Amino acid sequence: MPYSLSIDRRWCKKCGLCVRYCPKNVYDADPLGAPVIARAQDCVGCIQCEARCPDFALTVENTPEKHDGA
Amino acid sequence: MAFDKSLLRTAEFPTIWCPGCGHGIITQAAIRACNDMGLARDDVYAVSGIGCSARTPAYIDFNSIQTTHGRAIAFATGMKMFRPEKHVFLLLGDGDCASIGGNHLIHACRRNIDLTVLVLNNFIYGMTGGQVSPTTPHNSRTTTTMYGNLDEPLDICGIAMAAGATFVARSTAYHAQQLPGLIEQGFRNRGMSLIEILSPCPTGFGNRNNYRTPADMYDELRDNAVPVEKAKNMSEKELEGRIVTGVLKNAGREEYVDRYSAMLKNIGAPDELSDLASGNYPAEPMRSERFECRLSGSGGQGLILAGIIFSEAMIRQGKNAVHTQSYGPEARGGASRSEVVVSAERIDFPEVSAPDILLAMTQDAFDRFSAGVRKGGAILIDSTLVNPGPAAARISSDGARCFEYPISDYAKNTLGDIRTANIVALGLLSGLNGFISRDAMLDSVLSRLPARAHDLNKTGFEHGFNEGRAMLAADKGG
Repeated sequence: MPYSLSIDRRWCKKCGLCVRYCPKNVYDADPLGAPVIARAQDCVGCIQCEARCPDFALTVENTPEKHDGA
Repeated sequence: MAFDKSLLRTAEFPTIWCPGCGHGIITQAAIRACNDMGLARDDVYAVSGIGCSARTPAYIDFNSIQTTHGRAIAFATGMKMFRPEKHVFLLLGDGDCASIGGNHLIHACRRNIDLTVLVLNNFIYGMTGGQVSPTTPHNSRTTTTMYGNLDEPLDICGIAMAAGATFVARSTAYHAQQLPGLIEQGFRNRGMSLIEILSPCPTGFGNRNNYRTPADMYDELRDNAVPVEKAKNMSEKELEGRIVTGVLKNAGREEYVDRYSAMLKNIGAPDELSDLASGNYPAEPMRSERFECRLSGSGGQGLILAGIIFSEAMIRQGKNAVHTQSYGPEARGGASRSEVVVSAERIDFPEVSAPDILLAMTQDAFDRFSAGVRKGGAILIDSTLVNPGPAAARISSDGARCFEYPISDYAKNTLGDIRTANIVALGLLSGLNGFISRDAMLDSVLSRLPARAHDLNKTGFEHGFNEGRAMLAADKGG
């Protein structure tokens, strides 16, 4: 798996932005709205979820340089 | 787009913001901008006012300050003037920046001081429960506009551009990956930069305006955003309800701190304090780390000047001193006082709370301040004008000492000029306190007076000094 995704459950407030805006549909929402990493293998490391997480709860690691930049 | 998580004050997490609030996204973008620029923690000052936006500096481990409502720009201006090499940036809400602090914003833009203002515009006063703000859209519902907002929203970017800010941009919390670049441009612009960032408030605004989820609000920001390059070719009608994003203005102009430095250079401004301080005046050490002095009386007695001379004498002795003054609107008469704080250390709090020395030159001043003197402190009374009466017993039971001398009488009748009373009083205070160097005080007195007054005041000062020493010896003997 090229990218490692992690969610800090202590900080996540289940706003649903990562689930809505992941272009590769990596996340599902559990019945209470919390994000679940369902298809980690599809992640392309665009970090839209990390940058758009208002609670600093999401981390995408092993991001290649070519994706660094707005 | 680096992101250094060590800049978060994680002990404060999770944040107080509601689920889906855009403020966290903008905070993260600000950190990314600093990381991209390679700024260290101590290169950056973060300033906020009041509101949800004001919590941002609490989560970022920069040198940060939360200020009073609307006044953040005023505080930041002071910080920038004092530390021009630092990047000072502000995180303000729409209410804080555009209504309560609206005038500060306009004049900071006019001045073009090198600040970077991020306006976290959520259309509402969120923290107080969702009241209408200057940027609430027309017809939107808030707790104070239940039937729709009658007003048109204020265009913060438009105001900043018109007032003279040199870098103005707009974006939204949806465009999280565009933000660090814009913020970095703001940081790099030497001058006033303002970046308005629309930030959804799902709780205060979304709930009352038919947004079912936070993401619905972000969808709208995405769908309505128009890049400024594209907007140039669109008509006013086409742009109605759209959000023009990107760099709206980027025009260099001379910056305020630079102008100020240039002025200092032009007038050949001396560094007065370092010129003054020599420390080569022998004197006893101070009894405590911080020494407070209150000179009180009425306007015209020269107490303000006495305070300035006192402070300068202390600076000559190599101490730090802060002088503050307070007086009524009258040019002569009316209560007047002058306060000096002296310390070998830095003085962070300039007010006198319990003075070590009180000079009372009117009955009013004595009655008002004699009770506040610190234990072990001294009160010097001008006995021509003040009668301590029954208060004398209370003062000695409080552990303070009371010294009396007919200062005004001596100045008027012996020296022949009532205006010397303040200098006689400074002589007495120097005589009564061994840590005050007689020579330092006299040098300060003479440096502040015209040459024709030197002889008279020198006589008065020396008389006061000798009387003070005599009173001190008698007090110690008794």
